[in-house]
Amino acid sequence: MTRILAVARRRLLHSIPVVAIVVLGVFALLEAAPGDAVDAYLVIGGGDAEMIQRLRQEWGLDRSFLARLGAYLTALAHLDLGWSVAFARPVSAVLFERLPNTLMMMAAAICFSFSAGTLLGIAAGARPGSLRDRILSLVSLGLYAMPSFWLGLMLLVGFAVKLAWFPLGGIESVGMGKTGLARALDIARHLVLPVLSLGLIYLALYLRLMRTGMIEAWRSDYIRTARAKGLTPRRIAFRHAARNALLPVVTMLGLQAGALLSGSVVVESVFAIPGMGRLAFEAVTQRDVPLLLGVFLISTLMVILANLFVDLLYARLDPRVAAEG
Amino acid sequence: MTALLSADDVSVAYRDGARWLQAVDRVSFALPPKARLAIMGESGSGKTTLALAIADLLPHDGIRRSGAVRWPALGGAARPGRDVGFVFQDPMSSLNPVLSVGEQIAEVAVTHLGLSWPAALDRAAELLDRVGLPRPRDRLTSFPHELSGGQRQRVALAMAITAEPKLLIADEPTSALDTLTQAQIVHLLDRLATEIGLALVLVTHDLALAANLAGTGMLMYAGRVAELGPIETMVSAPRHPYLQALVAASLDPDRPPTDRLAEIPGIPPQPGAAIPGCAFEPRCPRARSACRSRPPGWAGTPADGVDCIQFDQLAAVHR
Repeated sequence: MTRILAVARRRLLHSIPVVAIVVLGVFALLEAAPGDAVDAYLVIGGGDAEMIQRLRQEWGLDRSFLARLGAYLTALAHLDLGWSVAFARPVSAVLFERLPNTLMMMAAAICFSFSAGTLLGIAAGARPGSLRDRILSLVSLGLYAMPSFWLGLMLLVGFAVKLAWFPLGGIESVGMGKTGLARALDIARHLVLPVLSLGLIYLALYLRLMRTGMIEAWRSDYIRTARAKGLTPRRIAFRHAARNALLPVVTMLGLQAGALLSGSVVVESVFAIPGMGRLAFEAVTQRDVPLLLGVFLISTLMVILANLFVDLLYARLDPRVAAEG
Repeated sequence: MTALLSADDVSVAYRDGARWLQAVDRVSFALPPKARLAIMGESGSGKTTLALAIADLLPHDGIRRSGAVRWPALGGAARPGRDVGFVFQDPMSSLNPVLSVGEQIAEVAVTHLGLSWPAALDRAAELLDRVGLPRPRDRLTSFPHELSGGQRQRVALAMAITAEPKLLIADEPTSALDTLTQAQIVHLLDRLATEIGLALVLVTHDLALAANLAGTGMLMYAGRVAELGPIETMVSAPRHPYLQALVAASLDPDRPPTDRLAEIPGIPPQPGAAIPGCAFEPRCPRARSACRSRPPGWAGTPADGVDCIQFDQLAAVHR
């Protein structure tokens, strides 16, 4: 237990510079990009030179780069994420309205792809070269080769348009006044297709990793020992082989968390889900610097937390990961 | 006495592309309960394959086997882990790296003795104490990488004897250890086998270790039994030319250290090579034309004999 706490403390300390680099980097990148929020605003409404002057002053855009950076960092230190000019609301209010949808979708996608992927990987790797293994490998290769936006569109056409089993988009039915369990089920129904299009590719990846890990494990001496001990085939497969095969899959889990955030931009657009991914896209088109910084900050924190969780899980699964390693 | 184990014409071949490589070629022997047999030979002689065949641990694919392994004293088949314990050569890779020592021992007791997990862990602690690990209770939660090589091999031994089997097969149990630890493990193996009443099959390339631990010796060459008999006679009065050469090549404390060690010229035949006569013939100082043309016949009884057509003449020399 102390070993695991030590891992957690070290990882958290390492994440402080990461957050700082992300904030400064994004701030500088947006500064280097041509145009600002006022330009984006004028594209929609239009206005004269006096109005431009007034807006720049009002939004603080007339001040120097360092002055604005300093103001942003000061506000951030007070846990104030600033004001979204595009939504005319505090950034934190906009973010926390959108965050649950994305979190729900990502969590469901990770759970789905990880559990189904590892189980199918065990099934495929239990008898390498068997018919079951070949079918699963072929299907996973096909899924892995598909881009998620295309997969999302195909799922949409097949299951929402033609079969009409699932809704076309959105996160829940509007104006139905559903509450409690009925509302949860309604949201779950809306999430099925986006979660599939986000998760199926990773399911294929986990399946292949797990299968390879199982095949490698079968050749190991400790599996021969387990057989010599007369353990049941079930215990040998799950407790001895799968336990070892799981390690590379868990590593991939941390990487998936980051990739899912970028994938959610596309999938949320395809399925019209008001989440973080679409918010990032909207913030870019509106040149809404505080909002975009907020999105990046929250995303960074989510990825750091996900990787912390993965590191702890890894330390728990593999006793050879030492506290100082 | 009813034999614990009897092997009749056991043969094992491995698939290599389109060919079959004969690893073990028609080996027969019987092992009474509590007896100790040392299977000796150099790398590739088929001694480990034979041991795996006895314990029914050969891989399922790419293997062709024939002959029979019977367990008359058990009245049926031997169950791995329950009737036969197995200790492997390398204690680092033979233990599961991600499971605790306690779990790896206790799971044997849960599987074969029907114990609950807490009771099985108690039993694991007793066993660790028995194999001489200090602070056995604390060791239950240790992982293999936290132990030294000798300690790991003690854990492997504890695992193998958990269900008090009738036979313990040890495949080069000390080869991966340093000399001092080797002596401790050999001593432990000897003590446990006596205390529990285990029959022992020791696979080794070490003649001295075999003579130390076993009563019967079996020398293998190219998958065949070259010589079988009481180990003391085998070491003091070797009959097969191969064994004679091996004994001549071993270190003898009584011999002046300035002497150059004897060596056996040549190398063992390639696996899968077609050998019409005796496999040792190309290296044999006493080979004659008949050795090349026809396989040697077994000279002696099933429990004591030599696989050499010149046996009668060779025996006369020693008499």
